Amino acid sequence: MTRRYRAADGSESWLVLRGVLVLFGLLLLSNVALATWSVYGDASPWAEVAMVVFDAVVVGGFALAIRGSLAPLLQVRTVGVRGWAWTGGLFAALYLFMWGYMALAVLMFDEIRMLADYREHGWPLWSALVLIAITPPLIEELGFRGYIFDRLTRIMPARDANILQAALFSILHCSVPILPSHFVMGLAFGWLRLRTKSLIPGIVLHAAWNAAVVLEELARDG
Amino acid sequence: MLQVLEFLAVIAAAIFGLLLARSKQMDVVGVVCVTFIVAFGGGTLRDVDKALTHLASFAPDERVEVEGKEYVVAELRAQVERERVQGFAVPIGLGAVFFGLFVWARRAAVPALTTALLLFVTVHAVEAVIDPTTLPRGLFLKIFFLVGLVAGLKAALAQREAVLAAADPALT
Repeated sequence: MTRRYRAADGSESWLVLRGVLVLFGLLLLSNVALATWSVYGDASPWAEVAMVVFDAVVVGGFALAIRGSLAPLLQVRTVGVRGWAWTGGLFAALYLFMWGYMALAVLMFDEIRMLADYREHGWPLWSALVLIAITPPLIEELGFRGYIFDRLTRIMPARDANILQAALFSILHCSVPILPSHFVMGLAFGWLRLRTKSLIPGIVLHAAWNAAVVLEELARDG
Repeated sequence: MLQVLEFLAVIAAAIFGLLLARSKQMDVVGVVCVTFIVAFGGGTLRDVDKALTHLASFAPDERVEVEGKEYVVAELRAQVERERVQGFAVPIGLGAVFFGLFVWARRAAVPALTTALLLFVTVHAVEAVIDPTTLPRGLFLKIFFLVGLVAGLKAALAQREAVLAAADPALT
């Protein structure tokens, strides 16, 4: 298929990139709103519920707009045994990396407690698992490795697109201590998407990782 | 009076940093970096050391109130010690990221400038949430960098399309 450019002034590429910037801007807005709430409000998990609902609506809307491109990426059968083996191997590699990274990070930064607000407000463990381990992986994989990755590969090579989406994924978390670790995680999820041509292994790996973090904190703090 | 003296101390430290960087025959970027680090780094270290010296006069299990919140002295000490490392690690880390983006931009300008732009906006947005008084600080410089990054990104996109058009005249 031949694409016709009206002019070589960057407007065609800008139209593609604009969608990425708008999606990232909306997700950043909800994250900054949550951060504001946790600094000045009562840090109730209801704020997290509101953010998750907002993010789900936003990402859902963007994903629907390119459903033709995303639908093949939601197939499980394309993954195969090798794809699942890569997923398991990456989980082990990420666990080792994060163990070392966090051991260094606690020397400089306060430990991140994901369950603190849930405990303080008497919310059950299952609600934390839903809001941390199930919905964010679905939203973030569909948003970053789905919409953003797909759009970026239209204006740059897949390798650059993977680095950029991983950078945006880490920036979105609005936290300096986890900026490097989430960049590596974003790269791993993006690589898995390229390798398996599916978003499903990334969603499974992301959810397994988040659940492991929650359960480890639970085992440590009781 | 104390504020004037502190301001003069920062200026003196900045001049020392400037001379140090020039004596090592650094380029403009190197001179600016060293000047900033020497000018503001010394003050940060001194503030942290003052806080630690003050805390040393309390027993580790004693409780103290700081800005309406109660802390155990041992925990507060550990927090101040961490802040000493953070005060340097965070700006140097972010500086290293931006330097990495500068290197990447020479090979792939669009993704590098997109990352730089969004990182710049996010860092300032988060900083403004944590401490709203930082928002107006250096506002003109922030706007200058923001405009520069957006203009750079647009130029990179135009250059990309110009290269594509040159490679395949049928596309224009």
